[in-house]
Amino acid sequence: MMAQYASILFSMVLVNNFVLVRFLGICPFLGVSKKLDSAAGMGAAVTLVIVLAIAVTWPIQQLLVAWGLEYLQTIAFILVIATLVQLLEMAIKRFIPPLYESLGVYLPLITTNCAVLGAAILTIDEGYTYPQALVAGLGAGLGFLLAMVIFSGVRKRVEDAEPPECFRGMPITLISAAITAIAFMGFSGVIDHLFGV
Amino acid sequence: MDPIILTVALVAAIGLVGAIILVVASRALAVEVDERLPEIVAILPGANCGSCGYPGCEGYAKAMLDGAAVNACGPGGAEVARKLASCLGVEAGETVVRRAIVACRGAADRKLITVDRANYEGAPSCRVFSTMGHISDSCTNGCIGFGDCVAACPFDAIALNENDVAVVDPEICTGCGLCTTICPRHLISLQEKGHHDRVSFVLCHSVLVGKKAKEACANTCLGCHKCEKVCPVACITVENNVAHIDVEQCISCGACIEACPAGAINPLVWVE
Repeated sequence: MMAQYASILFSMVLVNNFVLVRFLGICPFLGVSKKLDSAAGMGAAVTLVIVLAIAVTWPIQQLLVAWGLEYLQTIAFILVIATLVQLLEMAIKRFIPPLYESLGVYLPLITTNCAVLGAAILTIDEGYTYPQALVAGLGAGLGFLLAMVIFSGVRKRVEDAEPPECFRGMPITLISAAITAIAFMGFSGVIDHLFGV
Repeated sequence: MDPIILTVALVAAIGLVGAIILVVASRALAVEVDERLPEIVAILPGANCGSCGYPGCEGYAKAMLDGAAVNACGPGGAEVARKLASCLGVEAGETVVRRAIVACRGAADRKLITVDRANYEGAPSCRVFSTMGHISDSCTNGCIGFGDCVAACPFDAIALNENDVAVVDPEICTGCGLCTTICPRHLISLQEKGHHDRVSFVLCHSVLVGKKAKEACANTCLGCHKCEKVCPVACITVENNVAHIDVEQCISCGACIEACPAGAINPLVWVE
């Protein structure tokens, strides 16, 4: 039982990392990863939104299935996620103003972040139970956080290394993102063997 | 039930619940913002230069709402101070007029060389040049002339003249002071307008003395003490072979300018 949850969690963090393996939620990954503080803040915010979103969307999905309205999935989920992000934005503005300012436009952009909607839909497609879905959501969020933190470190090193002028800025960022993604490809298969599920 | 009604009702219900939660949350989590803040930010020049001592114009605006003085904005000057005062309902107070000045007229023939005395071909930046320990032949205290300060000026007030020496345009300079921290040779300083519209100012930092100084640059201060002797109010002192004029005491008689054999002392004229 525990092994199953652990397997879901770690496979979401490492093997199926939303950013570096599935390439979801790239926009804040590239936009807010310049500084470690805001990268970690963004990762924590997205984690919170994903878990809350799944906590709400999973019951809604059961409702949709019961009433035969599965085609409403996308619009209903987007509505819920938008509300949650708005709520989170108010909370951050009230309690952590510096984080609010450093996240800037990327905070409302979590609304249309495909990592959040992707987590909500993918956990349902996988046929997870409610607790499993929540653990998967937590894993997806932590994976996002991990990718953000690792990549902000990578970017700092890359900037200090003073790349040639033609690579400076976005080009070298995309190249280093690709190489970081290659590193994460190495995790595939590890978790299955580790937990024997 | 008709699926269309069910669909609309469901989405409307989700929206309604979300809206109620958001309304309640926005009341509970409201952040009080003084409505004068955007007004004050709009009055400020928006250069974010930091001459007021606060992080950016918005930082200064917030500080003013908490009671900071309204006359600290260098680029804005008296005009902005007056507007801020009427907006906040306080006294404007005296505004200090400041401007940056480059204390070098430059040796026209100076050559930038590397430590092993080859021609300098590194990055065209004064700070890189200086940090790497390179030197300029002739005067080692003067303007390097790559224009780091030109790039740093948010108002485009600094330009390089025909000698590749940075010159501040007094009509555009707002006295924000961003350039003063850029210059690796600390040649740029902020001067405050005192009682006189015109004061004498030494445009040289060279510590070389006598013949060596003369060889290095035609405009250098030789450290000859002539200005010190002619000054009627004794506000000039020569230290490390460079003359210093106390602008507070200077009566702008111009005697030192005439006495200087090298043309290192120049009038600093204040424009409105």
